[in-house]
Amino acid sequence: MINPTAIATICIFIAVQVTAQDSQRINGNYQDHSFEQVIADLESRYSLRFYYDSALYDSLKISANASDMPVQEALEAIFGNTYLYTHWIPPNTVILSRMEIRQQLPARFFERSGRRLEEYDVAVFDYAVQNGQSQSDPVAIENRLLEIGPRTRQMAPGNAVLSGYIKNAKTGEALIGAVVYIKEPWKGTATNALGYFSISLPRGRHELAVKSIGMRETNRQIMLYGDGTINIEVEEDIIPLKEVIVEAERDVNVSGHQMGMNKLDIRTMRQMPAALGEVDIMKIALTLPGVQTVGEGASGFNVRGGTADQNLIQINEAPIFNTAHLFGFFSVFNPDVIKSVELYKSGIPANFGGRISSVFDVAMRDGNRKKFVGSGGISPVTARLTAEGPIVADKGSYLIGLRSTYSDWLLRFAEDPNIKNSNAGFFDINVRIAQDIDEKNSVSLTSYYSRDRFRFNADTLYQYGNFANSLQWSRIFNNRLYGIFSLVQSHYAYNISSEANPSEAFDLEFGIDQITGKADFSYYTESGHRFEFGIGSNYYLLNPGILSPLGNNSLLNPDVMEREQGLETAIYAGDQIELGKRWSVYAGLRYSIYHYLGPKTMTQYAEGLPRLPDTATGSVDYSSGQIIKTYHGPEYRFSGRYAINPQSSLKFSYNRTRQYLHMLSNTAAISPTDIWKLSDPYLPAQVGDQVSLGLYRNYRQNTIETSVEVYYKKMRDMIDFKGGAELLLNPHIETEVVNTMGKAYGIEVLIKKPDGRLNGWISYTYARTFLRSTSAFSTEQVNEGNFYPANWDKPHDFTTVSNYRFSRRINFTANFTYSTGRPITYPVGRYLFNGSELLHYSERNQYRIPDYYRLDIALNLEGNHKIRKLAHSSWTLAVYNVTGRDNVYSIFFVSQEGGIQGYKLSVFATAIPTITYNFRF
Amino acid sequence: MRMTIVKAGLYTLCLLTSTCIEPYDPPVSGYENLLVVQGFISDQVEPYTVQLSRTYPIDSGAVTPVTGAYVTVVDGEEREYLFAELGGGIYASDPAVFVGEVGQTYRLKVRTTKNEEIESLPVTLLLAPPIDSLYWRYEPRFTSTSSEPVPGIQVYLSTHDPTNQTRYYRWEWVETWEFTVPLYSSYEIVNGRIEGRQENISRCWRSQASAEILSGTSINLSEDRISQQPLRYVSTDNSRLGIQYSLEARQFALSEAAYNFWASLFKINQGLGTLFDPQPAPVLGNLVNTGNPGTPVLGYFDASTITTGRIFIRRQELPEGVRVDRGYRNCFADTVLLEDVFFQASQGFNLLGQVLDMSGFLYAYTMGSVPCSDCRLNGTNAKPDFWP
Repeated sequence: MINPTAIATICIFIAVQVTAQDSQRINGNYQDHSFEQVIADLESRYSLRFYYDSALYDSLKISANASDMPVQEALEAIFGNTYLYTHWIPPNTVILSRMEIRQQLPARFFERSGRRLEEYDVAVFDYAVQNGQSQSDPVAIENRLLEIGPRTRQMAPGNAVLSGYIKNAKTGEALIGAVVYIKEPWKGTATNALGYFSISLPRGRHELAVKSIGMRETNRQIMLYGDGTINIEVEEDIIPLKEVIVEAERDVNVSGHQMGMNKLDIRTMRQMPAALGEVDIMKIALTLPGVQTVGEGASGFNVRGGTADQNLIQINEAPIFNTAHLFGFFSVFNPDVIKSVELYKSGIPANFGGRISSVFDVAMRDGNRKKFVGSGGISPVTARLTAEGPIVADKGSYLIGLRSTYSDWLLRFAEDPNIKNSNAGFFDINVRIAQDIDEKNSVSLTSYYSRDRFRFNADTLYQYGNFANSLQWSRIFNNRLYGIFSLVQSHYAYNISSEANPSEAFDLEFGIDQITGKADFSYYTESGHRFEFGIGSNYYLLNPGILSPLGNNSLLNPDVMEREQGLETAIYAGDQIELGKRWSVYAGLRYSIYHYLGPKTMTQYAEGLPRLPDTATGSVDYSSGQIIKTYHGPEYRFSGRYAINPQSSLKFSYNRTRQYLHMLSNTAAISPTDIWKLSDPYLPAQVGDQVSLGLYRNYRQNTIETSVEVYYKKMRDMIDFKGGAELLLNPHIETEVVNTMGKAYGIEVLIKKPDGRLNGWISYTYARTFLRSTSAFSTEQVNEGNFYPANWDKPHDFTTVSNYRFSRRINFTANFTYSTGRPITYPVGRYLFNGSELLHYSERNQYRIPDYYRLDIALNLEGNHKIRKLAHSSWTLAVYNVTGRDNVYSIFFVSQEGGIQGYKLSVFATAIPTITYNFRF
Repeated sequence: MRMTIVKAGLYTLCLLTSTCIEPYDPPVSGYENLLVVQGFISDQVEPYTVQLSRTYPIDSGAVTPVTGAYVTVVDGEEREYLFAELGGGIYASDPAVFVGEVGQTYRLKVRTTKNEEIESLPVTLLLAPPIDSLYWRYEPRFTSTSSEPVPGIQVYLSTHDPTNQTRYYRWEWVETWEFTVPLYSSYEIVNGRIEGRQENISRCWRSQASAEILSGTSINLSEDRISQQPLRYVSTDNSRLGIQYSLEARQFALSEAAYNFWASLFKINQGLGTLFDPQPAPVLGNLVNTGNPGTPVLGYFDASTITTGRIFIRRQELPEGVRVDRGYRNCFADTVLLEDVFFQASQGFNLLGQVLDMSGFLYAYTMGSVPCSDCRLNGTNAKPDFWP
C-alpha cells in the first residue's frame, strides 16, 4: 500500500512515460462496494497504483460498471459518479483528489463561466458509516466538514437541494417525521414516511441538525456547493425515558406550521399505565386534548365533536374498519410493531381524505436491518412475540409480530356457567417487509390480519376480523421530486351464528372491502416551496348482510341484501412555503368525486312526504356499473403560522373534508356488529368545515411548551336514527335515517414539559357538540328539530400525564383524567300498560351521568444496562383506576316484575393491578 | 401473579355478567303529562275493556286513572259501540251488544273531559292459530344474588299457522302454583272460644300474570312456525315449584305495525343494560290526538282472537335431589299454656294443636306465627277450577 502522506509529493510529480501498458483495458463491476474494496480490486488485477488520502474517502460507496475500457475511460466510469477527480499518469499511476488537477489552464480560463456547475452530475456523499464505527466516534463525524455537491472554487449564488435518508443507526429503520434543519436562517423540513427528506438551502456552509423523538440530536457541518445527498444515521437516546411526546419536536411546537396534530411515539406510550397490562395506543390517544370516548370499554373515539366513524384510522395507508378486540377492551394495534401514531385534529393536509373529523395514522416500524432480534411480552391476558431481521444486510428487513389472548383459559375460572361455557379470544398478525432496490427505489409490503371470536354460553358465536395489505413503492426521481405509489386492500367482515334454536339456526355475514390505488408526489423547488400532489381512487364493495339457515332443521329463509358499490376518486395538490422569517403557509386543495354504482334496485319515495315504507312509490333497477348517484366537491385545506418572536407563534387553519362511507350504529358505543353504508341517493356525503386558531409559546429555552387552540366546526349530513331503528338486514335503511347537522366548538389548553427527570403534560379542554335534525317532517326529527347535545358531548376534560425518572432503570408514571359525564336520556314519565310499569322517553340527552375521574399509576423497571447479555428484559407494574372509583358507563331503567328499577353500569369498578414482563433477545 | 391473572380476567368479563350493574336511583326531574290508552277486543263473548290513565313522574306519584271520558269503538261499517265507565279509568263494552268479528276493522275513539279527541288507526281483528304445545326444560341459572347456578325450569311454547298468515305473535301468561305453610292450624278462636278449624288454611294457590312483553315473529322463516319461544323462567329459589305449578299461555296475533310497537316497547323498557344499548326514544303506537297531533298518546288499541294452552309441572318431575326453597324460615311450634293462649293469639299466633298431659288433660296448645301457619297471607285457599 501507498503511504498516504506521500500524496503531496506525488501530486507535484508530473511525468509522462508511455509504455506498452498504456493499452491495458479495464473491467470492473461494483455494486455498493466500499472505496477500499474498489481500490484493492483494481490494484490487484491491473498494474495501477492509486494515490489518495484514505481518511477522506473511507466511507465512500461506489456503484459502477466498466467493461473492457481503456484506463482513462474506465476511471471515469468508476469514479465519475463520485465527487473525486481522477488523474491518470500513464502508465500506472492514478491520483484521486477532490480537486481537479489541471495540467494546463482551461481554454477560456479568463472568461467567467456560469454554466460550469451544471455540467457535473449530482454528487452522492454517503456518510452511512458502519455501526461500530459510528458508535465509537459519533463526535468525529459531527465535527468533520462534509462537502456536498461538486466543489467549486467560487460558491455559486442561490439555493441547492439537499436530500437524503435519516435512519436509526442501530436498526437501520427509517425515521419518520425527523426534523432536519439549519438554525441560521431557520429553515427546516421533516422526513416523510420513508425517512426521506429534501430541503432547499442557500449554498454555503451550514450546521445541519437532525432531531427526532427518542433519538439523540445530531449535527453535521456541511459545505453545500450544489445539489447533493446526505444520509444520516442517528443514535437512539440511551435513556428513552426522557421524553413524553405530544407535539413533534421542541421548537417545532412554535416554529412548525402544523396545528392540531399530535404525534405519539411508541416508546413513550410504553411508559404509560395501561389497563390489563397492554399498551393501547387508542387509549393513550384519549389523553390528548380534543379526543374523547363514550366510555370505558367502548371502542372508537370522538375527535373535536365528530362521530367515531369520522376518523380515518389507517396502518401504513390501509384503513382499519374495526379497531377493537374483545368488544372494546383492547385496541387492534400490537404495540410491539408500531413505530408511531400521528393524529390530525385540524390542519389536515390535502393528501388525506375520506373522513371528516380526523386522521389517525399508524405507522408500522421496519424490522431491524442489521441483525436478528426477537422480543416479546406476557401480561395477564395477552402474549406477544415479535421477530425481525435483515433480508439483505442494510438493504431490507422483515418484521413479524404476533399477539394472542389466552383469556379462553381465564374463562374457566369463572363460576357462572354462562361464562364458563363461553369462549373469547383474539389474535393478530402484523408483517412488514421493506427492501431497498437501489438508492432511488424501495418497496415495502405491510400486512395486517386480526381475528376475534366470542361465543356466549355455547350459543351465539360472534366472529370478526380485519385483513389489510398495502404494497408501496417509493421512488426518488431526482433530488427535488419523489413519489410513493401505493396499492392497498382492506377487508372487514363479521359473522354471527347461532344454533340455540335448531329451527331458527342462522348464520349472518357482513363484509366491506376497499381497494385503493394512489400515487403521491412531493416536489421541492429551489425557492423553498414544497409541493405535494397526487391522485388516488378507492373502490368500495359492501356486503350489507347475508342471512342463511344453519343446519338441516332450520326453517330460516335465506335473506341476501343487495351488494353496494362505490368509487371515490380524488386529486389533490398542496404547497408549503416559508414567506420570510415570520410566515409559513400551507395551502392545499383536494377535489373528490364519488359514484354510487349499480347493479342495484333503488326504492323511490313520494315527493314531499316523510320517507317511510308506506310512502314508497316503486323502484328503479340500475344495471351493473351504472352510475346511480354522483357526489363531488372541493375540499379546502389551509394552514399557516405567524411567528411573533422566536418563542411564540400564532397558527391558524381551515379545513373542509368530505366523507362518502358511513358507519350506521344506533347504539351509544361502537359495536363490532355495526354496519357500514355507502352514500346513496338518500344519504348524501357528509361535509365538515373546521376553523381553528392557536397560540403557541415555549418557555425556558423550549423546555416548556404551551399551546391554546380554539376551533369551530360544522358538520353537514351526519346520520342519526329514529328511535328503535332496525339497521341490520334492512333494505330500506333510508326510512330509518334522520338527517342531522352538527356543530362543535371548544378550546384546548396544553402545557407540556417534554424533558427532564419530571416530564409530562397537563391538558384542559372545554368542548361542546350539538346535533340537530334537519328534516322538515316531525317524524324525522329528534327533540323537535332543536339542537341537542351529542352522546359524546363532555364539556370539561382535564388530563395530566406525569413521569418521574428515579434512575436510569426505574421510572414512575401517573395519569389522572377527569371529564364531565356524558349526556344521557332519562325518562319523563311512568305509565301502567299491559300489567307493568313502563317508561316514556322524549327529549334526547337532557341529563348527564356522574362525572368521570380515574387515576392510573405504573412503575417501569428496566433490566441492567449491560449491552452484552443474553436477553434484555423489563417489568411493568401498573394499577389502573387506583382509587377504585366505579365510574358510571351508563344509567338505565328497566321495567321488571311490574315495577321500574334504575341501574348503573360500570365497566371497571375497582382498581386493576397488572404485571407485564417484556423481553428482547 | 396467578391471582392477578384470574382477577383481571374476571374484570374483563365484568360486562358480560351482572356484577358491575348495581341498582341506582338518579334524580329525575323531567315530567310530561300524557294520556295512556290500553284497548283490546277479541271475538270472545265477554266485556272488552279500555283503560285510560295518565303518565306520572318517575320519582313520585302513582297511576292516575282518567275518568269521565266518552269511549266508543267504531267498526268498518261505521257502527259505534259504547264502552261504559266502570270506574278507575276502566271502560267496558256490553257483550250483549258488541262481539268482535274476525276480519272486521275497528277504530277506538276517546273524548276526555279535557276535550282531548283521541282516535286509533283502524285495526283488523286477526285470527290467532292454536298453541301447539307448552313444554319445559330443566335449566339451572344464575340469579342476581347467587354465586352458584340455581336450579330452575324454562317454559317454552310452540305454535304454527299452516296458512302462513299470522307471522307476528304476542303472548301473555298467568301462572298458578300450589303451596303450603309449614305449620298446620287445626284450631281457631271463634267468638272468644277455641274451636276446631273448619277451613284448611295450610294449602293455598297463588296466581300471577305476566308483566314482561313477549312477542315473536316467524317472518324470516320459510314456515309460519314458532318453536321454542321462551315464556317463563321459574327458579327453585321460591315456592312456585314446591308442589305443583301451572302456567296458562294466551296467544294473540299481531299486525306488523303492532309487532314493531311491542318489540320497541320491549327494547326500551326491558332490554336495556348492555354496552351496546339503543338510544332510548319515545315508543308510540297507533293512537293519535286528532285535535293536537303534536301531542303523543301512549299505548295501543288492538284486536285479535285469543288461543290458550295450559301446562302443569309437579315437583316430582324435577330431577332428583333438586331442592325448592319455599321461603319459610324460623317456623316452629311453641307450647303455650291455656291461660296464655288468648294473649298469644292476639299477638299474631295461630293455634296449631292440643297438648295433653299424661292423663290426657288439655293444658296447653301449640301455637305458630300467622305467616307460618296461614297460607292465605300469600294466596287463596280456594282451589281453582282447573286444578287437578
